[in-house]
Amino acid sequence: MSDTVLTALPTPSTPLARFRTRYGWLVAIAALLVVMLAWRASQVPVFGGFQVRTIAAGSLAVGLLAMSAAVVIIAGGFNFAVGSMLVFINCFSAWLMQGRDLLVCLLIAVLSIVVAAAVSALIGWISVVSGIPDIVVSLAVSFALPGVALLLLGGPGGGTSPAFVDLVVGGFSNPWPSLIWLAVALLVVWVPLRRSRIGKAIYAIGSSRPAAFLSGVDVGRTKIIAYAFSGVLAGMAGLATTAYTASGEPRASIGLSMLLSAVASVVLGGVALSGGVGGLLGPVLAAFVLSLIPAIMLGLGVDPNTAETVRGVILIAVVMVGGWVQLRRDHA
Amino acid sequence: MKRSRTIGSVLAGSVILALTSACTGGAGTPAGPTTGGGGAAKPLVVGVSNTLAGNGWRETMICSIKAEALASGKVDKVVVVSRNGGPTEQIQDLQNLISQGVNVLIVNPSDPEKLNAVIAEAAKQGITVVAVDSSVTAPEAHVVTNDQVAWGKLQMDALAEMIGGKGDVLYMRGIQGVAADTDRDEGVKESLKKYPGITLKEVWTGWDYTKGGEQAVQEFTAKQYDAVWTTGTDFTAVNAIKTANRNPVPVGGQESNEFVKQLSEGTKGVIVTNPAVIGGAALTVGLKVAGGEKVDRDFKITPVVYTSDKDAAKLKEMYVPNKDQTYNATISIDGLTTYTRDQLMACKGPGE
Repeated sequence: MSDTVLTALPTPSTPLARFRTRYGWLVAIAALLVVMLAWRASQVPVFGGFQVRTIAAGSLAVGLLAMSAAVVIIAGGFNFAVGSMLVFINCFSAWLMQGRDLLVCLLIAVLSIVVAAAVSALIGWISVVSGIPDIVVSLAVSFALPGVALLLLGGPGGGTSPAFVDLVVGGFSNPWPSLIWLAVALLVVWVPLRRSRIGKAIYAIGSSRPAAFLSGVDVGRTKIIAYAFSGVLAGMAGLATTAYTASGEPRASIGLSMLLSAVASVVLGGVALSGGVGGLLGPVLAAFVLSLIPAIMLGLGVDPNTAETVRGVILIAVVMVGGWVQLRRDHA
Repeated sequence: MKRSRTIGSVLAGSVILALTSACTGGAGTPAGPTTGGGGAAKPLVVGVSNTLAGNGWRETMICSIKAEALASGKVDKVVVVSRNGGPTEQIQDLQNLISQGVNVLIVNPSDPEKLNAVIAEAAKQGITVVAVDSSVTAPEAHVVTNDQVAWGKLQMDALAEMIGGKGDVLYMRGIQGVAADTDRDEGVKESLKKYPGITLKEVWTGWDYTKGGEQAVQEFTAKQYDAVWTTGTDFTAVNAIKTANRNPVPVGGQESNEFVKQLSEGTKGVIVTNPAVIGGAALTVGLKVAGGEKVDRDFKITPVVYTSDKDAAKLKEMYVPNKDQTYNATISIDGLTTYTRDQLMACKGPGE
């Protein structure tokens, strides 16, 4: 009876401290983006609608794909197939949209997103039912999808209606459509999900699967739903690519490089690869930051191929600092 | 506990700031086109977009643009974007170049149609656009290309003459579906109408010297061909015939440095030029258009033919000793380039 075990009570945190742990990273990445935008603006003779649209439309697909990758990473998994899904939906939609008017193109767009969600949910389902890690299942699917895209198109081709292009990426001096679509993905797809029971379950299984299971969360179902949402966002990224190039391109290497850019944005956007931490706004801002690097290098007169090296160095630095901060926290 | 968190976040913030300031530290003021005070034409800024970085032929193309810009005296600065990628990346590169305030855009297009929208936008902003090496369908652009149909035909004609108009020819093509390959094939098929005694064995090299060499070894190990038509993987084909222990036969190709050397040293064959310095020619056309001259939209450069029988001395002269095997040995194009040999080798634009 005399052996009483004492556990230290957690000290109540101040609102400021809470804000910092929750949004500190987001504020930092937003500040970085503002600095880089200002820097780019100082480099060019005129910084107007055309320049903003270049950045916005150029980052639209990567931003959506980063969100797509982030949803599954938050749920504690890894979806290797997001880049291939972009290529597949790009080709699938361009194959159907060629020579159609706007209304038909919009219906095809909806169909494309449904197809993407279904294929992506299938990856989650196979992984849950078979017990094979999702990284393996999605890797296998990522090889299959560009092949299907090639079967559909047979080479670069397809098309879409000019009105659809205007609606998604706008004219050359109109950055708003791209920004609006990113906002739609965030506010219409992500925010309601995050606030719902499912959203909380996604964070729960990402933080700790056993704990989530013991709390009565249906782990398998949650994972499949996370994959379905990932598919919706990857489908949107594919449609953005269709609008940006007004055609389809079934090259597997495009999917791979897009996947790498997306994962880089996720890491820089404050989403922990271990799962359960972060949001979707960070990765979108990070996608903008990463796509500004080549433009700024160009303005400095540096070979843009060096931009890849700079991207890598920034990522390593960010991951190391993030890991160090995490360690300090765990030991605090 | 609290203190360490503060330290952590302060450190994270400071690293990010340090990163950005490290970058901004080197930021110079943008060098826009300096406006000439008098009535003189103001110097132009030239933008170059290329999607095959590190490719020897393309590097020479870019050097020729820089050299011509320097020699012309009309150019203030050349901004080059050379990034491996497809049309999506190139559209973005072109937009970034437009933002940079270029007056003339030289683009080696990765797709004949996908760049049309951004080319139209550039033209709307008063920028002269010249597509070089392969064509675009945008009506606003000028197009400067080597005549690939003639290239295919001239090489096949020369080889056919060398082997007396009949025999088996190993036909080493490039990449399926690429415009240059399709055009060259058209020229070859046209040539063969005159030589019904020739049969072709088709292989695809992907424009890769090593792969082409390996394929030639396999083909010659299986059979003694009478000649080899290559789409540019020429000197490795010559080596392959030796490797396969077969009798030497005429080989056709372009002015790859090593192939030039082989022909000047007695190997039988034919060179049809496919100059990389076409970049300089494209800039000359671009500067004419920007200066208000009327120039035809399509400008095709007719290839020159050199055979080992007739032009051995000329080929000896052509060889560039201090350059690598794949270096494109054409140094200038009559009437379209004005730089000196040294300027081309230096590969420096104005102000570099």
